[in-house]
Amino acid sequence: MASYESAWISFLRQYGPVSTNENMFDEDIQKAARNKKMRAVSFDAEYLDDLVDNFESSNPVSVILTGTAGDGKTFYCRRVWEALGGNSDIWSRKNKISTLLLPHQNRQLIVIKDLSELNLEDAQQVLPQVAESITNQDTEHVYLIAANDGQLMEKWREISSTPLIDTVRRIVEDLLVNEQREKENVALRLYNLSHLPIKNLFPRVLNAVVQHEGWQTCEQCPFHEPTNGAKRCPIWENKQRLEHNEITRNRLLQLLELCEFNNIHLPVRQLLLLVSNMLLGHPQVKEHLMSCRDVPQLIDDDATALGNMYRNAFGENLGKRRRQATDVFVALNRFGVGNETNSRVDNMLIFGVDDPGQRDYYQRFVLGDPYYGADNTYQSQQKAYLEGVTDDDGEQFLSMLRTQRQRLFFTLPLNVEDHMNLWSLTVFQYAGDYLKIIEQLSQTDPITSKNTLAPLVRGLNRIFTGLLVYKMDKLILATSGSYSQARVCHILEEYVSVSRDKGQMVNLTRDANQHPLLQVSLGKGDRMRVALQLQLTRFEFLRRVAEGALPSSFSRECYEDILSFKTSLLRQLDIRRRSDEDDTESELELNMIYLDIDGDIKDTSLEIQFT
Amino acid sequence: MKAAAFKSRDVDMRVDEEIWGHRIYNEQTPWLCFLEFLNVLYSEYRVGNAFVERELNTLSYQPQHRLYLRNILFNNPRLVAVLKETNNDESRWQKWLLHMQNDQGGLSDTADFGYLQARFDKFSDFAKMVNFIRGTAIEGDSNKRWSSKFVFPYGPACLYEDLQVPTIRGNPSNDRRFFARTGEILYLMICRSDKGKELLPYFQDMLFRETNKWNKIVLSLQPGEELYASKLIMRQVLVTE
Repeated sequence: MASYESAWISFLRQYGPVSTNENMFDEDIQKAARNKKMRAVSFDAEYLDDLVDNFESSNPVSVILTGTAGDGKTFYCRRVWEALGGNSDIWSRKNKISTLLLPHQNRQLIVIKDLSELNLEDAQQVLPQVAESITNQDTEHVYLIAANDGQLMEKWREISSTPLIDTVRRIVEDLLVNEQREKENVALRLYNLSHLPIKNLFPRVLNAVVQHEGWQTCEQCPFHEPTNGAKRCPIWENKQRLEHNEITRNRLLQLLELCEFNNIHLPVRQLLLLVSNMLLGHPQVKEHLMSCRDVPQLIDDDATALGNMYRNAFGENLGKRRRQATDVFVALNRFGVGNETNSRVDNMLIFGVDDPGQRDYYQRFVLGDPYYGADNTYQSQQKAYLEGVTDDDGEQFLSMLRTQRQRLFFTLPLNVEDHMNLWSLTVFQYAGDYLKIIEQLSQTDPITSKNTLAPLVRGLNRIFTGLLVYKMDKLILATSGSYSQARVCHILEEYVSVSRDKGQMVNLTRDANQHPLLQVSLGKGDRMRVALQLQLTRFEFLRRVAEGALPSSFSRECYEDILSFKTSLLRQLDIRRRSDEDDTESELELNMIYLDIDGDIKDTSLEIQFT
Repeated sequence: MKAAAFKSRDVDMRVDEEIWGHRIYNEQTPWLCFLEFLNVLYSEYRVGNAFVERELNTLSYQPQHRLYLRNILFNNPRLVAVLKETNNDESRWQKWLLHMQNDQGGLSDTADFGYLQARFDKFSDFAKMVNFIRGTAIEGDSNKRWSSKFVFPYGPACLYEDLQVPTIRGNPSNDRRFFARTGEILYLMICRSDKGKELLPYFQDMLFRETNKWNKIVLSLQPGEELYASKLIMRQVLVTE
């Protein structure tokens, strides 16, 4: 069969993990798009209308766009430029600074595409002018400045200091550190593109790719819908799955959201790279990304299964070095999908063909997907493995198992999620519960439900006391005298009620970035509250400890974090005691805790007669 | 083979000394270094010389021994047995006191632990307290000799120096096995760094307050005269030899 070459597919490769995907991304993509006569992938950018409205208004203010590399700063600048009627030819010249006349009162917009590219001399000249505009001393010029978050302050520090520069430097620093967008009496807005929630961003990125008009050319291709389903083009297969399978799309988003809640930021460029690699990845072709030219050969070789997008999601089509150098794959591989498993899933994958108890699921989840599930190779390897006649000790089958676990992670339907213990296919076994809490928090904030809090409180109690306690209706604050780093603590300082009692309580709420917080209140008033950032890793840690894991065996870092949380609680307790005028120093009385035979915590008091 | 012949012990030591000087001992753990340092600091603090070196290389200080406390905490294997032998509180005390009189180390034959009975309501309370303080001891789990185990520094009543105590009667001596002077060096380094004044208030507040509850608790295990008993010993800090 003659193959059909789509310009779109070769353009899409530009977004993938190829060597040209580096600095100056937007410029390169624009150039490639012009050469191939393609429309670059684009989607509604969250702040674009805001920005254009601002510059079109009668009273515009300057704007700083910040974020990490790949967040789309240059993209925003260009779109603003175009929306305000700027000439795209002028834009594509490699000027560091471009100027445009705004509609009102002959104001000029000055766009600095990348602040870090200005040398000291330029910066020394331009930044004082920017400062004048920001402080309203100059209303004839407004600025649009893109700057990496790390380098934004750097430039302001490099230039020679004047009272004006110092003021502006402080303004910018305050906005950046306090994560604010604007400040009173200052003609400046700061947009941090790294703070866009991935929940809003990723579906746009994904749809912009899979719904791009470039795919229309595929419909003329003979491998698009061949009569023999096995001969279908893997790129098209991946595209269909990624566009239409809601479960897959949702699980992918969940993984990315969990990264975000673990404080790992993935910029747009990385998200585009992920989508491109999922669609085009294949380990046996040039640069590990399929082009239309590769497809007929892969189909002939029966090698389409290796273009499996569920593997590609973790960069498994790439060499180890490339994978480990790509942020999005490093982040997603932390979940260990493929390596982690449970016996339900493995029993089904290995014995499902003969085991009557497994057959139903095997039929649905393995045989039901002849393209990436039980293809011929899988079935023959499985048979050889079960009969013990493989020549490689089952190596090949075991690696196929890995791939199948990855596929199942992305495809198991919601109604079997619990039965198959979906999240135990990842390192974070309690991630499902974590996501439920996130979801719940978006509806009711704070969460005070005992069912949700109890396991977390038990985890905290086990770490706070170093004892295998079961208590979960009260938080136990225990010490070893003033020795706060002690692993085991027998001196009871205080019980804190989980349900609301005289201002005491434990609940879950959200911080300014909408990330979950575990909050403990030791008494009435906001000042009596101490909060712990509950990112995914800490949540997993507390839940595992509550289920019996030893605190120091999961993560040393988490353990120290929780101990320092205890220290802040104790400090707050000390403040409360002082304000209650409890003199704890004068009497030599101690409350000691111990575990009784049933594992219940008991306390006993002990007094010393000594002055 | 020739090279091996040259590599004698003496050469090793010479190189070590060139690098570290002969007063920094690289096997002293950070905790023990810190405790040794606290002993010097507190002794100097009491005579009003904290972090002040009046004349170069003349520092001498007076560490504590606190042998009652140390016998109770670390040389007291019968405690649990006594607790199990009988339920009668009075006889528990008597049995234990007898054991202590016979088995204690480093104190005079007339040493009497009887003061403890008046301070605790019950023998079992006393046992709990001993267990607790033992549980928080520095390197308490190690198999070091009992006279090289240390109470967590809750306050000044917890400070004492590392000792070697003879098994048969005799005076304890400091063999510098675990307090190998690195803490003394640390003290002198801070003296000469000009930062001592800045640091002192923190030590005063956290470690040197006699009224601190935990200090008093540890003090409650010690007889009244303990402090004076070791007053005669002065340790000379030799920076050069």
